[in-house]
Amino acid sequence: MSDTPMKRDQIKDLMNAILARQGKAPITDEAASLRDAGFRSLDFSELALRVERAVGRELNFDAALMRSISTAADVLNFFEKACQNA
Amino acid sequence: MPEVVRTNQILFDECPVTWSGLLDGAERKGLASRLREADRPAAIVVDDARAAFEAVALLAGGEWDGMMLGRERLSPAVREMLSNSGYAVIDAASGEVGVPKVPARTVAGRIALLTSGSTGVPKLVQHQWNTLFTGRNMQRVSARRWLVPYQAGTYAWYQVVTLGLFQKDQTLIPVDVSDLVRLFQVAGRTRADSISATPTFWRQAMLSVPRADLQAVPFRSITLGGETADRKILDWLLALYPSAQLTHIYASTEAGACIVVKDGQAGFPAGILERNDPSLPEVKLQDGRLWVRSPYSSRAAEGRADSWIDTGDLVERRGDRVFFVGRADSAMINVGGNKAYPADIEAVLLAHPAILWCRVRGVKSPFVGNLPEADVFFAEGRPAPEETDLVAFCKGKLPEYAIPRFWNRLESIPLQSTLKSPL
Repeated sequence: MSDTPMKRDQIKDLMNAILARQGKAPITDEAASLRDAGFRSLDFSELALRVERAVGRELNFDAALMRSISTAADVLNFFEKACQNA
Repeated sequence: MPEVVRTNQILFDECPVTWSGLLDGAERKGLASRLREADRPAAIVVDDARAAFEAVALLAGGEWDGMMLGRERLSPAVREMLSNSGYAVIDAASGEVGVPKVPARTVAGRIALLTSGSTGVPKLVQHQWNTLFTGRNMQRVSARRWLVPYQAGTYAWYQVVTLGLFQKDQTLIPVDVSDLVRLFQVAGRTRADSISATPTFWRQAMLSVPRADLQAVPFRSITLGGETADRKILDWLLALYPSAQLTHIYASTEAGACIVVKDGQAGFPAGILERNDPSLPEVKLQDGRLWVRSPYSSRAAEGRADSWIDTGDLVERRGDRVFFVGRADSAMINVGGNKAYPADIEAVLLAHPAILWCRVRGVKSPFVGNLPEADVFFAEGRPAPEETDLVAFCKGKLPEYAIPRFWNRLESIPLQSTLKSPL
């Protein structure tokens, strides 16, 4: 574990690894909708825990921001911001 | 109180000693004098298997109120608990007698045990020899030679040891589980034909003992207990020992032995829920939990045989069978409001040909509360599957929320002194 905030690419790698484990294609276009990518709420929760494990602490998530998430880019922005605020 | 069959033998390092011989040994060490001197319930602390059997020979042969305890279990917390319960602690090696903080009256023929402590600090549970001796109603017991791999003093250990104490022609062979290759060699040389052990014990044996050595032991009777007996381990044992009677037992230190399954299938027949024979334990389901009322329970030892005990085990009826799905206090994984049960998930994982052992638990997770995480140990001689393969294997067999999200590959199967895997 590390206290270093995660970079966007690292978060994207985690996201793609989750999709790969589900037998789904990786995100190539950040504008892709989560529905099209097959990235579901449990995947989102798994990603949150993997990010927390990677940074070595619990993160404070912005609930308002979370409600507006619809694309892969939104997910990456969300976790990037959560890491910066930690 | 049942009568000790003093001519029955116990093999230490392959040399036979009778219960009479062990009783003489206990007398020579002055243990009886120490018990008299203590004049209260007493815990005899021992250092090895022979000393454990000597202590039990003494306790079962008289009207004592006591218990036998391996020194490795005498933690400061256990010592404190014994003292607060009025138990004098007798060191079998030094003869030292520790006086408890509180007085207590003795109850003739009472024998106490500690629970395994797998769900916390061990508890003191008091039985009588006739509640501990669940083989008391067995008819026409043939001569048997029992391997005794369980930790001395545990409920499972007493299940085999009371057979040796109170049933004719039952030979006991205490064995050291730290070297399973040697254990099976000893079993072969001493012509052991019966064994009671946990599924985890057998998984360890499967890994570390050559198949030929396993098959060289002519087991006629194999009993599984302490953990859920899953389909995979039952099939494996049936294939290895096709002529053996395979039995799995549901028992606990407090509830006693309650359910005995001999049909080689996982779970237990739902018909057991309807049986109505006061000489047999009764079981019922209430809000998904298993309750038992047993003539072999610690309640029965207190004269409260009609009292139901909540086992804290979660069960589910599926058709004509009932399956264990976990412990009420720790088992259920709440994934965003959906209930996932480790035992169900483990049963699916164990059906994967490459998985020899697994343990599933919930890990705290943002947004959904918990997610399932699995520790897995892969069988040797097969390519280890990727996590993608494991997830694909689970799809369709488990709801999406129950499929493990985190996978930890272990290098060995964890084994505790209880012969169980950690919860």
